[in-house]
Amino acid sequence: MIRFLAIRLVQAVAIVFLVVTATFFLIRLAPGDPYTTVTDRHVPPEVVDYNRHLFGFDQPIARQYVTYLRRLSHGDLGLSHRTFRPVAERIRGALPNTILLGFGALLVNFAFGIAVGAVQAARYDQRLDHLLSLVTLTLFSIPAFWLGLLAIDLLAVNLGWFPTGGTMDVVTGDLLPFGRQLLQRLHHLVLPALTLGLVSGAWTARYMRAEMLDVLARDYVRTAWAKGLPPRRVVIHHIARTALMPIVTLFGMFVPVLLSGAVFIEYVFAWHGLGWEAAKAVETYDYPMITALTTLTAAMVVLGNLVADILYRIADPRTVSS
Amino acid sequence: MRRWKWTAFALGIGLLAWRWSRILELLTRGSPLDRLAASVALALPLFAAGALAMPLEIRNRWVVRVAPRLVGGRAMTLGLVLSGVVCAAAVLAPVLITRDPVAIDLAHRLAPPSWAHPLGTDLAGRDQLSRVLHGLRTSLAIALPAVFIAIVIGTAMGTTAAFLRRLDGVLMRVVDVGMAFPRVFLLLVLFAFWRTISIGAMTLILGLTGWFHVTRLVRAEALAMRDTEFMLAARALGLPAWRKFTRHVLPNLAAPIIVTATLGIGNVILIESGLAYLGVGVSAPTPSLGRMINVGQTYLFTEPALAVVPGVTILVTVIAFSLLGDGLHHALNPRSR
Amino acid sequence: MSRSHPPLVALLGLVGTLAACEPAPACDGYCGTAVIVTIGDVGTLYPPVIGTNQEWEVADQIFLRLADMGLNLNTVGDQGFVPKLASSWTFEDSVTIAFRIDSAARWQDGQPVTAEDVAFTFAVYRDPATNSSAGHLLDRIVSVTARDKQTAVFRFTHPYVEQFFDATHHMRILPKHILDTIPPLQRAGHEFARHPIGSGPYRLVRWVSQEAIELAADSNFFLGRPGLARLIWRTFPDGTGMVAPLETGEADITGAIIGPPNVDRARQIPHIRVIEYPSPYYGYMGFNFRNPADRTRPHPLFHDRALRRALTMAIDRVAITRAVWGEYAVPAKGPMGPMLRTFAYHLPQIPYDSAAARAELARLGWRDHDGDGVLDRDGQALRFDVIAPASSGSRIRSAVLIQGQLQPLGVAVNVVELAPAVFGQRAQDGDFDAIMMTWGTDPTPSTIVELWTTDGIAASNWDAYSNPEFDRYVEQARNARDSTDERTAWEAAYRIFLDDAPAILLSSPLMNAAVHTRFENVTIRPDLWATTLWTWRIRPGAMIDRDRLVRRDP
Repeated sequence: MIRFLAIRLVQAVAIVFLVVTATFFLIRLAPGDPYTTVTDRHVPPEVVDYNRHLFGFDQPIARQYVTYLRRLSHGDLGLSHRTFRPVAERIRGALPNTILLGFGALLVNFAFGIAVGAVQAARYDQRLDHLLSLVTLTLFSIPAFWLGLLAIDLLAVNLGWFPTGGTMDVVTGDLLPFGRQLLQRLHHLVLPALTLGLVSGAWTARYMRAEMLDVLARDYVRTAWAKGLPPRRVVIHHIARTALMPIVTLFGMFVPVLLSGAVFIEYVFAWHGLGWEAAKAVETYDYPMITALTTLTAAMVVLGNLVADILYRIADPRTVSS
Repeated sequence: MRRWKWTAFALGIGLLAWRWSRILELLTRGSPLDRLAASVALALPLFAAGALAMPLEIRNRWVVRVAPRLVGGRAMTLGLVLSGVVCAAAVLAPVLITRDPVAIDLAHRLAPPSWAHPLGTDLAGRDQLSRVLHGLRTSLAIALPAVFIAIVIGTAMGTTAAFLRRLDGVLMRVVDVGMAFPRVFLLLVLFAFWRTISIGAMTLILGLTGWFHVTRLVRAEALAMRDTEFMLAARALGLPAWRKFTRHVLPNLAAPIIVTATLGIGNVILIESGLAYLGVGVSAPTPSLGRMINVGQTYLFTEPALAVVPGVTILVTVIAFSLLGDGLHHALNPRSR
Repeated sequence: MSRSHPPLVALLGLVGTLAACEPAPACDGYCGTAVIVTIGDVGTLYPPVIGTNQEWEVADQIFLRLADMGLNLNTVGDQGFVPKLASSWTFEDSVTIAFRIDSAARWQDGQPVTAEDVAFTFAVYRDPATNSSAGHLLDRIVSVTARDKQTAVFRFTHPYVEQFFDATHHMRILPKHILDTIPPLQRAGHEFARHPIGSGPYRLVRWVSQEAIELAADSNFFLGRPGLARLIWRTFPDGTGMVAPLETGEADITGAIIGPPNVDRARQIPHIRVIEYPSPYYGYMGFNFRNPADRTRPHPLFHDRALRRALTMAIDRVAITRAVWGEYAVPAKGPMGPMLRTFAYHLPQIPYDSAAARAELARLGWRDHDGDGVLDRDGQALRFDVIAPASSGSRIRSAVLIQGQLQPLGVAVNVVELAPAVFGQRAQDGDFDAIMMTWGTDPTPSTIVELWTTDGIAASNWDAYSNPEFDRYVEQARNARDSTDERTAWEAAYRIFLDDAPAILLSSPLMNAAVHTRFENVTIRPDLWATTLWTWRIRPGAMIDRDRLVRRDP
């Protein structure tokens, strides 16, 4: 186990390293000096020189790369082209929000997916199964941002059950005691997490349905039933354990999917997270921010996969990862 | 069966007669996509005529051999029909529509649906139906080649990884790196550096970022296939590698690849429209469904049709391809449910 | 199922307890919380480098000028100006103004505001290292010196009517004792930009990036206590969602409602009042005077004044304005927005006459020689591209309408939508035939210098319009010593401009602000609505819950 962990950790670091390098050089591939193309042409020369020096563009590319890596190891992600403030400052504010959204969506995803998949398997080929198939089909065909717009229109504006956006109430925000604050944040989390979770939950539901049908047909399950074990016991001990294994695999897959989806959801719900920062950075050609975000998201995905692999190993030591 | 062919033939002839001048105009003066549309319109009745005229024995042989594999039940049929309709509508868009999608008509801004404008008009009086069809055409023109590129690269990489053990490690690390990037982030990064995106560039970029999971899938299937009996037999017989590949491996890979492809089309359409919504991607004036939603969202509460129509179009298209993928999956893997 | 579920009951109990907790108690008499919705991102609060309206909204509460324009936006002399940091002033001679700094004025860290701060501020704005966009606006001020602790003396290059405006409007006074210690090149990125110390009625309390900016009132503000104790800004990525919080009551104010459908929606909200006010904007389709392929040569089509005039004559801009903006814009009259005092001048326009335009084109020798539907002359087709940013729906619609109106005459216009950054780049490089531009200008007509004069070609005159007679009248207007001479000169300049038709003027949108009905004493100064925000109050008896939620600690 330890050896496995060590190998995977080394691999993870290598992957992130490759991602960082790829992004770094991708930026330099772009036509022109990434700094000067963004600024106003009337900037006085000494300011241009100072900024060039500040962003390190006056050095040979190999030197820039080494400096970047060195700074990265200290957690220094560079200065934003737009505001000249450290990129880490904005990311520090955005990261927890995206993680919160991700976990919320994942929760909705699995809750919805497992429940629907199980129900469909239990009522295989009956009307309920077909109806739910239609529902899941619609859900994963719908553009997430469109669903979000409709959700805001219906649930926030027309019915007033939920806030129209943002991560918290700007008025009462930090004036509230911690518990109440937490509830408020959760209240704001509902719509975006629901939107993102349902759209990705459709995948889980379909996957779950197929898996459970597969397991239900297996011999040892039939044996258990034949032996006369109570149905619930059979379900929980035999079926669920085996069927839930792929969920763990899915967990690793879902991290990049959710991060991708988060870009659109965060935009629609004014949810300050990495996705919004990414969209903004692309709009303003803020290269240090883009590099930092790419590195960070790659790290998150790799971490997610690592966790998934570990969970897989723990749950079923018989399997050997490919 | 014969009835369908007569219907297709009649429809084709009808279309030709009705839009004769438009087809000619497109053939001579249109863009490549327009010419494609005109050619397809011309070819339809010919194709149907050919099918009608085919000798019975040849037709039966085809029906007996291929058709059983395609029996997939309701989902499959629906998916096939819907996808067919969507593709036909998109390809034939320039032939079908009677209104110029960029023709402004101030007097009829935001008109409700009518005979002249089946889906109403937009803010400048342009016909919504033609705009949607053109947007659909753009989306499919991007999605289909992109998925094709991804499939080709993915299959090549996957089989190489499965059969050439030395390259397996390296290739899978590359795939891991590729899958480590959330796709949308990667696309945003790429689009940040290239300021104007043509359809071709967008297609290429989407294709080049989409082959990673195909590789994983193909590799897994190929590995599973490696030790089956017929492969062992082929090796024992001393068949050359390429023969083994084309005759034995590829046909068995076809099933999962086709399913992945159809599902991939839906996925790419969603990604492309999402990016267009954010303002990134194919640059105007090429019509785009995602951008129509963005423009229409300001009017979501007063003129919902502007944002709802393109949204529903995306929804129906993706459902169509998903159904098709589902149906194919069930048809080609009889054991699965 | 017969067993009870203790975990569930416990959870419900916990939720119930938490929900019952109340937030911080009432406001002890000084109340009022306004939630303001704004679009875009606030990146910095360091005045010399602030570039966006949303940043000004906030910064205007924290920093003060020497004196503020009145609501009528008069920039001639000192009529209507309201004393701020300067309690009084004297026109000592035709090129000198002495300001007396209010002795009660304080920085938010307690230090008194002195004339040294004013002199320091001037030096900062003029320093190239600061890279302030307002730097060149102070060109006609020779020096600012501190005669003594309370007197700042401004010397100008020559006498002209807008001296007072130049001295007071462009600079927000900065604290010397804090900024002096930071090297000039580092100030923009310094902590000060995130935690500014100003001398204004409000202080920055909390800034959660992209979410909220909160300001707290200084109840001891030397010019009087601000009407509202708390101001909170909420930012949105774009205009779509901005009315929703107003509808649900989550927000109270927005200074500029984006998009006519949103204005309509806002009008329907019973507790919101929509206030229309003139904007600084005017939109046009500009002709490039230089050949985009070779900037040293004139444009093959648009160097011809008669052609430009003919094209202008073919455009019905009243119809375009109505089609694109509905009732939310007025046709543009000249190179100025409705906010400017010069908008009221009577200026003869090129009339809309499609038939006359057609005849004029024919007279100039443009005919369809090759039968392709497009006019041509000497082998050159009357065909050009007009670029527009994809982000501006109104500009694109206007371009499409122009295209539609010119097409029957045989003029082929191709509308090219570009990503905003690409558009900006090409505009700056002069890489276009025609361009859909909208400018929002300062309250002074002098902004025309950087946009339309020959000197402006190095600045923002990307069309490269150059007419020495126009330049001369503009210079004359700027250097006029009394308002009558000034007006005569401006009118002459504008007449030349309209005659030359360097651009087809289109629409000037109107601005709409949405304000909750519980606020009174609401005034809006058209150049920046938030300038008078500190004087707004809550009608007695109209307080709502969040008005009572005030921070305890100062």
